[in-house]
Amino acid sequence: MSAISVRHRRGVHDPPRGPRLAIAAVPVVFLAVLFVYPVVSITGMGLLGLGAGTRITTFAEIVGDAGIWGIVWFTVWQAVASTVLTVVLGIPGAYVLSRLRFPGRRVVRAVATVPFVMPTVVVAAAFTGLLGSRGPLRDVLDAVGVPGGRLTGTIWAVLIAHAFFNYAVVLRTVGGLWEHLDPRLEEAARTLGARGLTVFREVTWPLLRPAVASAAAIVFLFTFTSFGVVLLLGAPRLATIEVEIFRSTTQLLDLRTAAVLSLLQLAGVLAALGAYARLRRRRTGRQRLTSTRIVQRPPRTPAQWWMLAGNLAVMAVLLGVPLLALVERSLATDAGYSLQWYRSLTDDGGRGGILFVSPLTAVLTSLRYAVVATMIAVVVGGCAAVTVTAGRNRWLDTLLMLPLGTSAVTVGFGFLVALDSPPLDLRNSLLLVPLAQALVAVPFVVRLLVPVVEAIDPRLREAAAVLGARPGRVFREVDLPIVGRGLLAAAGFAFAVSLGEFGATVFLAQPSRPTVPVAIYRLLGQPGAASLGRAMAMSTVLMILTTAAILTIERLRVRGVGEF
Amino acid sequence: MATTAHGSADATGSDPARLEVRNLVVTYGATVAVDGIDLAVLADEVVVLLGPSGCGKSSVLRAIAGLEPYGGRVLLDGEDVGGLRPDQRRIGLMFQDHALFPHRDVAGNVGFGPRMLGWERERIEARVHEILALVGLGGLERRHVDELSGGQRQRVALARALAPGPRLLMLDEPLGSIDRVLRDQLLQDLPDVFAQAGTAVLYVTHDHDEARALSDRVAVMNEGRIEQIDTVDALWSNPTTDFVARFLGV
Repeated sequence: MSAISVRHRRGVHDPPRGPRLAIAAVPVVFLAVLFVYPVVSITGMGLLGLGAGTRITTFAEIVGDAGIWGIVWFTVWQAVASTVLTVVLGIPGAYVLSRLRFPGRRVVRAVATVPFVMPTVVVAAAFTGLLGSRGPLRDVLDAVGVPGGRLTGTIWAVLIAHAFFNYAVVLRTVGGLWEHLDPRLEEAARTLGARGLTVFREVTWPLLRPAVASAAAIVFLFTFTSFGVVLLLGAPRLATIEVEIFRSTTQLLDLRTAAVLSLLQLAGVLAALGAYARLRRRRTGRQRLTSTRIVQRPPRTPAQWWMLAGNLAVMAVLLGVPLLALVERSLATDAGYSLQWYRSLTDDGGRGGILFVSPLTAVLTSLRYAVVATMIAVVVGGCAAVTVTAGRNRWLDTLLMLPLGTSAVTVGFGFLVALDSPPLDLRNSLLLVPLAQALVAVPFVVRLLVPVVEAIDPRLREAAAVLGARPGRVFREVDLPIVGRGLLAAAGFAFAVSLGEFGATVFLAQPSRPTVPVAIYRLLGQPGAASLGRAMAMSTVLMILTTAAILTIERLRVRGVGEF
Repeated sequence: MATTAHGSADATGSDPARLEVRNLVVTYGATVAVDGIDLAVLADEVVVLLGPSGCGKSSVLRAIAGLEPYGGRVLLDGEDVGGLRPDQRRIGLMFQDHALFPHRDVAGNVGFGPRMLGWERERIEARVHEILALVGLGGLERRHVDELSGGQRQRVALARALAPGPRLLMLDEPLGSIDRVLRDQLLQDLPDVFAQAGTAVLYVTHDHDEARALSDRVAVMNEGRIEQIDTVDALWSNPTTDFVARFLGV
């Protein structure tokens, strides 16, 4: 919806068939081994009990259990509620950032995107800091009658955290269209006698609806498969399917139930993806996109000033306060503010420590894993983008999106089920975690790269060829320089995703080699101010690393790139 | 009835002009787009605002329509409309590049204004039918606007602006983006449409031919000011400033 893509004509200068097949084989094999095979294994276990050990519950018994349907019901309704909340908050924000020109607009937009890429554990830690029983809002919450002065453990914490996370999805998707919507359409309506809300209802809304629908679909998908937020903020009462898969596997050792839950989850995701694909196909008339220079105007009417002020306030409270609270909590000790928790990051906590290693070691582990995962994701995603762009591979495009929707927990669980026994035993391989992280990152890489590759005008290649460049040289001289920035941006995104990946990593990381998110998760599960303080300090470090990666990408961002 | 104001020299009799603009100023930040113009259009008159691109013509129309804040006064039938929003002014504006609603069919576009007036469905349908016949598009009611040719889009935009029966019809470079043959055809049809619609017309263009073919009077505009207002014959035979002479090529 964002860019008007130039679909390639198949020409004499495309790479010959042999290399093309080799390029296509990379993502196909990658997905077959690391996604399809694990999913098939889960299916076999869920339906037939293959490899599930000695427990003799049947598929029918598991599905007939009312508890399961309670979890499914909660998963669906919290996703719907989160989506509604996010869209309602996000649409006015999208208006302000796409239609009003004001100093600092670009900075606000970049900063507002940061929460979307924040690792789930950081978000959970931030809201634990803000809304938990040791948080700064404790007295306020207590005064308005919230039991214990904390919202953690309630649906409210989960909903607010989901809105925090996905606000940027609405901002980007809806704002991306809105900032190109011809303002004369609204003006025409006004000269024809429509005012205020009527203009919105009759013209703006119908034209925005496809973007709102796809934003809602994406947010639904993300919150339907929400894991870290619910695990950490909803505990101990609330559980989505994701959380229950994790608990069944790690706490109850009931792999069969976990497999059945994974299948239910997969079915839900496929249904949502199908609806999303249908929404994208249904269009309400071709729209002429207009330059933002014409669309964006300084706020003029009092109403516009109120919109601007109000939405900046919403962003500050929704997006800014939790992250500030995180930093504040990381500095707060019983003896006032200090760097005590940061200093303790080099401390491994002795033999009985929950992490086995010092938090600093976890940072190094995370960085190492993330670098390897990024390299894998960029190679696989790059080959996939080229293949998808060359046409006739819509099925690959869809297949590539599946790991994103399938959720990290299913990926992790699938690895656990499928890759820990011959023919593929990667249990002790240091590649296991990076491979899982790469699998999670690949859909993002593809989404970022496809528009860039598509946007290369085929005539440029033809011009280079006419000027005497051989096929390989054409790629080096034309494609690579143009795609280069996009490639860097994709790498940065993959790095940020891998660094913060939690759902799959928590299944797969060896106990003695925790990544930062896993370490934070373990610390948050411990009682006492020291654990909380160290969790906050680590989360702050991870937040800074991720923000640095994302702001670098924002600078590298090529026009019209990315759909999230 | 108010007496005709100073500056509207051509307003005859005791009726006020349909449109009267006094000392109109439009600014965008530090840029002055329209620098104090006076202009009047009589009830059955076609006035063409002629000038090079960027001279402020479109800003004049947008200000009159109420889409831009402005200094000075805009009077319709002697009444100052300064306090009225665009939707209250009952002025038809045909936009440059049409701005047709892409999510509505031809009838949905043309019937939009009448619908805003709260007309009943039968009356709207009858009106759409009537106006489409007037612009030569009878039978295209259910056509989607994507499927129209350039000339057809033009006519739909014109029909949409006319449908609610505006007091004043304003057109912003309406023939700007279509090819020569179609343009000449529309140029022939327009006077008839204006006459049958029975509305005052303010027509913006940079094209001499359009000014000659359509206007009762022409206002030549340059750098935010009106250089000369006159009939076609008087203008071409007796340009009063160097700019007008050069711009008209006489």
